[in-house]
Amino acid sequence: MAILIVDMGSQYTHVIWRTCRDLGHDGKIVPKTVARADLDAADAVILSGGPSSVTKDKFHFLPNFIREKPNDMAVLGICLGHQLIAHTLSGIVVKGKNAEYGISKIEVDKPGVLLAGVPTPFSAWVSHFDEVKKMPQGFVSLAHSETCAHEAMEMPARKLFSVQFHPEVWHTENGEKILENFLKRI
Amino acid sequence: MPFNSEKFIQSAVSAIKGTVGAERAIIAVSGGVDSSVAAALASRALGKNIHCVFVDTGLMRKDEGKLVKAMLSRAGVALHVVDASEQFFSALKGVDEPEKKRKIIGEKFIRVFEAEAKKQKAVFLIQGTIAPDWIESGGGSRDTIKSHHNVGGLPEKMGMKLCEPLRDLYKHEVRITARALSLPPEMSERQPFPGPGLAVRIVGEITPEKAEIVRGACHIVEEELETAAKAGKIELPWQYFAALLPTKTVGVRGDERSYQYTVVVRAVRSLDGMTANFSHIPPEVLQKISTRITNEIMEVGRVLYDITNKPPATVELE
Repeated sequence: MAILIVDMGSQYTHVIWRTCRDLGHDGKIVPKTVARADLDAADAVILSGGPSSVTKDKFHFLPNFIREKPNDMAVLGICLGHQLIAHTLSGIVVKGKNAEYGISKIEVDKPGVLLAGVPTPFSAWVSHFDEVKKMPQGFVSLAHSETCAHEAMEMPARKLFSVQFHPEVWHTENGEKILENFLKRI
Repeated sequence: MPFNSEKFIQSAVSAIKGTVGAERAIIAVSGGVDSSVAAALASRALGKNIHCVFVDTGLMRKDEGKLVKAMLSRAGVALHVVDASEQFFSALKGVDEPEKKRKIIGEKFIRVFEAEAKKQKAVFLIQGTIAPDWIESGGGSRDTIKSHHNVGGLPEKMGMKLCEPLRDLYKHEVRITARALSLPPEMSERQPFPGPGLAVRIVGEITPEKAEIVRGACHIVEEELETAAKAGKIELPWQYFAALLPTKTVGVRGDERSYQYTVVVRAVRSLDGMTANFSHIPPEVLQKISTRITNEIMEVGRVLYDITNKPPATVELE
């Protein structure tokens, strides 16, 4: 099964690829200028983090893909990817009151699909200033931290999942479990 | 599937054969696990058609050249040591900007390798570049965190073709490969050491005097933490060293005022170097380190312990 990992400039894009491989899934890293046809042909898509901001940067075919993709194709947004999903579907992304860099304590409010079997609280690694202030309609918030209200959100009926923290890095507790929960939905 | 070293060794050996063919190759060896694994793979792929070069930049750890030569000869690899320390120090004179330092070092390395390649009639340069090196060097939509000497620090024009068999690997996977290749444990388990060497552990301008100070401090940190780990007081950190700040602070020694350099001790826990947290070293171990540094290295008057994670900091200071 081919998972497209869209590289939006994260330090951890290749680590997403590595973790997917460790979990038995072949991933392919593509730039964020990837053609729409390639996105449509994927079995699942993971949107990486990145240094830019959803309100300032261009994301080519990604917003239309997020809006129009079939309901049975699983998409996971991480960090900037999480914000891009929220922004594209008319949620609100703003610069947070406080930044979060390094360790953060994540409190699970509702395990849902993505955080199923994950104990609360757990330590996760984060690296962001922007945050999702208001989720798009139809999404459920799964977890929060001291400074960020929506650390994870999902809309299982549309197979849209996203996290503000980085489940792919070694320091995030239960990170592999969270990615596994997503990969099971493909 | 988790990383499979047997499969990787097979595919890397055939990829090196395919890339280099019957040409001769220079191998850039630093004594770290990455370049040692690259050398071992190249030797499997190319047999005697390789020439391993170790460049002494003058910015190496204590007794590094001797140690590396002995370690590699035990692993069956003949090493040619090139002393380029004067060239490196003179090129770095007066330079204090970290990215500029890294680029100068990257270029100097290549010029030394080019000269060796010419003598050896070698066409290829084989390097132990691993994933974090090119990731952090930036490019495309990825920001440059630091130009690693073997990627972002490479000059635009170079007279050799590159071969980088470990590009997709991380440190823990390189170690698994090293063990599978039966490299000695002192090499496979060796803590990471940055390509630019002590240059990135001297914040600001580099001088031979400062290199000597930081070399001594690094040696003390290594000795004390390795001793503490052996005694079961700590888990040996993933990476541990000292760095020299350009800042001097006031002290008192034998009832006399002193005004001396500041040393930062850094020890981190990591798997792959992509994220890291500072090691929780017990105060009595830190105390021993600070006492030894300030008593054995007279130019240092204050010792700090770095309690920052990555992100937001990086492991090395520059």
